[in-house]
Amino acid sequence: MGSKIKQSVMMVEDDEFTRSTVKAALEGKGLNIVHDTSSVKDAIEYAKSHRPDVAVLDYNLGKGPNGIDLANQLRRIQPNIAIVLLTAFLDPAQLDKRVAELPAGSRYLIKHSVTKIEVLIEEIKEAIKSAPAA
Amino acid sequence: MSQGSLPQLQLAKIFHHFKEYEKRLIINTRANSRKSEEFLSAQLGLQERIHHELSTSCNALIDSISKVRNTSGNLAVENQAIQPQLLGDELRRLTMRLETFGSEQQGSTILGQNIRSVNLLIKQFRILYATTARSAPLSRSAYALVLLALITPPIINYSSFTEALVAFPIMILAITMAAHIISKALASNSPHALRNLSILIYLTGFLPMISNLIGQVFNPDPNTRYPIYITGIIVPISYYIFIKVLQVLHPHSLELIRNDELKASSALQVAVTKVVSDEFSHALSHRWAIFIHGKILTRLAATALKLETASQAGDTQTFNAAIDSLISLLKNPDAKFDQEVTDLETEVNSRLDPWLGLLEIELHIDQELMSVRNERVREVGEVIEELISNSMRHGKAQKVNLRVIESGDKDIQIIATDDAAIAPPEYQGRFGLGTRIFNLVSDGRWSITRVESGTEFKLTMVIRL
Repeated sequence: MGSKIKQSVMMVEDDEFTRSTVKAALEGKGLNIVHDTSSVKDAIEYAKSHRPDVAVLDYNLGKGPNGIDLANQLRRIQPNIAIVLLTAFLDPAQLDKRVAELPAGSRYLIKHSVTKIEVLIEEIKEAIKSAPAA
Repeated sequence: MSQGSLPQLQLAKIFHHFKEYEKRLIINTRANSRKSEEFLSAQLGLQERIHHELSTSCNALIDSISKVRNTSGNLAVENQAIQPQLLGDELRRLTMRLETFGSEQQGSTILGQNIRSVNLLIKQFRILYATTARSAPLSRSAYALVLLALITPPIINYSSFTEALVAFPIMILAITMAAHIISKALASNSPHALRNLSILIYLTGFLPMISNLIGQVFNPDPNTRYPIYITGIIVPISYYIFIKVLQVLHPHSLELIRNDELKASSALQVAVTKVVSDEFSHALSHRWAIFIHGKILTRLAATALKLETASQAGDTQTFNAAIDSLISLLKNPDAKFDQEVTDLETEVNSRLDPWLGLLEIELHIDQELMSVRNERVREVGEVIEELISNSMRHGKAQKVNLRVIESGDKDIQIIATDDAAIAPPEYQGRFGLGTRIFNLVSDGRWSITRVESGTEFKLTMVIRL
């Protein structure tokens, strides 16, 4: 395992159980989860005011925009934000055929492959590395 | 206006009214279909089927978890045994089946829809023909003139002037007699009058061939023999088609069309019911697939992570609580599927709120509609969700103006204008989930038009049941 992640992380996941589980697991590994929410609107407002370094987003956020819509908006607000998209869908088009393109350097991770939190942590590191420079 | 353009105008008028009539007919037929036994039973059948398949998959998962639970007394071993079950392969397969459900149905492709539309149009054309043939039949001279017009070119091409002088009067006499018989057949009250009429029209089309063959018996001359493919095939078929089209274009049909006196054929009713059922199946299956992904498969993955973490920490209490919580969800997997019915204002706002921050949305709802609360309100929400998704994802819009207004006693109109740079897929004739939802909810009463600064979407639907 490489170096520790020092960047601030925001989590957006509409299922409370999943959100609290992933958050606890990431915090258990020393990650700095600065904000967690189920709301797109709240995530955008937080990003505008606090500029987190990393966003871990659920793809299917229930009614309204999906994780890719949010990821694109976050990149508009903060062009160098690292993005990891968590999903239960093997193919994003299953949720919606009109899938927008993921922002450059984003990571797309199938949830059932995250039985070990280290898998997600590695993806976060990759996303940080491949995010556009500030 | 030139005089020559008058028949064209009349024709254009008939086609316009026919198109409008077709639209009204489909709308009414769709509305009837939604109330039909077939649709209601298909709706119930699908709900039961999905519920059954989901319960079966969840019960199988509960069984497989229970089998490996508490067998070793060692958390790490138990965790290892449970983890593969939490991949939820069976549930994943179910969601794949649900996703492809609607698209497997016949006619859900653009090609399939078009073929079906043509078939339905032909069937409806027959009804229009049958009605006008009975209420305003063509005159005898019309029957005669059409055939004469068809046979004149072969007569000119293959007969000498003298022969033509003989052939024409004989032909006119024969055709007039045939027209007389046709009119008589139609005037009879026989239940088979229309069938007999069709047969007679078709047979009449062979008159030129018969008369030419008889002429050849008395005066054999290969140069004056009409080619058999013309008189034996082209003339009878063309005559049959021309007569039917002419009958349908009779001015009286315009009256029938205007007054909606023509009802849907049973074939049309059956086909429309099938389309409505398919749309419903696809929309519902998609909702279920998304629900299973978002609420069950996600939970399985989160539980897998929780068990792994608890097992590493040796936390038996958290480990067991996570399994209990999962089993409780799996015992009642669809508990959160059917949402409560809310009032229209709450429903619309619940669909729009998540988009705020991504899009600028202006909303107007007529005061009288805000408190409407019934099962159709959720469908208003689905339409809004679809059209906002379209504007944002496809059209890259940044602004949407949405109005939900009353339209008559029972209907509402949803009007959305945006600043989308790209037309939505429905505008480009592409058929997808959105089209199905719009059709299903409005019975086909929706439109998308490109306006100067973006796209305008209009949908009319019944809100007061």
